[in-house]
Amino acid sequence: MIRTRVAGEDAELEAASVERAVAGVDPEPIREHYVVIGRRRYPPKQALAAATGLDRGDFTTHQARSILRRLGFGVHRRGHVPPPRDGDMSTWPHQGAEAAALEPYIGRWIAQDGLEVLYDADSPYDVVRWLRRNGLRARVWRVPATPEEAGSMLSHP
Amino acid sequence: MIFPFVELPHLPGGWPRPMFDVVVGNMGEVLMPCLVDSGAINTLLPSWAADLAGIDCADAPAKALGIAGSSTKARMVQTLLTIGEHSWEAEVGFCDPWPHGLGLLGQLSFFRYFVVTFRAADFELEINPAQR
Repeated sequence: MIRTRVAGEDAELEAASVERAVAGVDPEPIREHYVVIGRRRYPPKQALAAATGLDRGDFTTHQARSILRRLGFGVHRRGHVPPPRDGDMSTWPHQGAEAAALEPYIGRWIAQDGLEVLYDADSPYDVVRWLRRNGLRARVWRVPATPEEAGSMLSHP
Repeated sequence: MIFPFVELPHLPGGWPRPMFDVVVGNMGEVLMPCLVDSGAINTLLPSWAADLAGIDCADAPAKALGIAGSSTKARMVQTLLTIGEHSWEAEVGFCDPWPHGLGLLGQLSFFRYFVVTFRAADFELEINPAQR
C-alpha cells in the first residue's frame, strides 16, 4: 500500500484495489503513455480515475504515472516492446521483438498494430467491437497456443 | 508487395511464419492475418469473419473438410478480398469450427491470382498480382 496525495486529498492505494477497479473496464486507446495492469494496457489517467473515483481533470498524466509506478505497475510509452527471449533471433524480421510482444497473449484474441497489442479479449467479436467503438484499425487474431493453431501440421522447431 | 514473416511466441513453436493481412469484404477496420499455405487447396477463413463483415453464408453451399486433424464445415462464398491496395473476388470457405486463430490462403482464390515468392532465408514474402 502507498500513501499519496491526489487532487489535494490524501489517499491510500494498493495494487490490488487498482486491479479490481479496472477489472472489466475496457481500456481506451493509448495516446502516449500506458500502464500495464494484468495483461492490458490502460491510459494512466483512466486507470487512476477508476481506482480513486476522481475526475481525470483533477490530476495530470505525470501524477498518474508516478503513482501507478510506485504501486509496482509497468508504466511505458507507446512503442515500447519487451526485450526478446534469449536465443538467436537476430535474423528474424523484428529480432524477436514481435514474438516477445505476443507472448503474454498466447491463446487470447488480440488487436495488434505493428509490434503493439492494443487490446485483448475472449472472442474476436469483443475485439472488433472495441476497434469499432474507438475508430481504430488493427490485425485481429488469436495468438496461437499450439503448433497446430499456428498452422504447423507435422512438426515444429 | 513485400511482407516480413510474422514472429510467433516461443511456446507454440516460435518460428516466423509466412503470413500477411487480408481485408475481408468491406470490413476495413479488421486486418485478418492469413498463413500462405501452398499445400492448401481452398482459401479458408473462420466463420466469425463472415459474421462481422456482414457476409451472408446461410444459403451458401457447404463443404466438409478436414483441417489440423479435425473436421469442419466450410460455407463457400464468393468474397471480396483486399491486400494492400489490391482487391480481387474469389471463393472463400468460411469455417465453423475453426482451429486456427488465423486464416489460410490456398491454391484456389489466392495462388492462382498472384506471383508468390518465398524468401525464407530473409523471412520475407513477395506477392504481385498475376498478369493474366
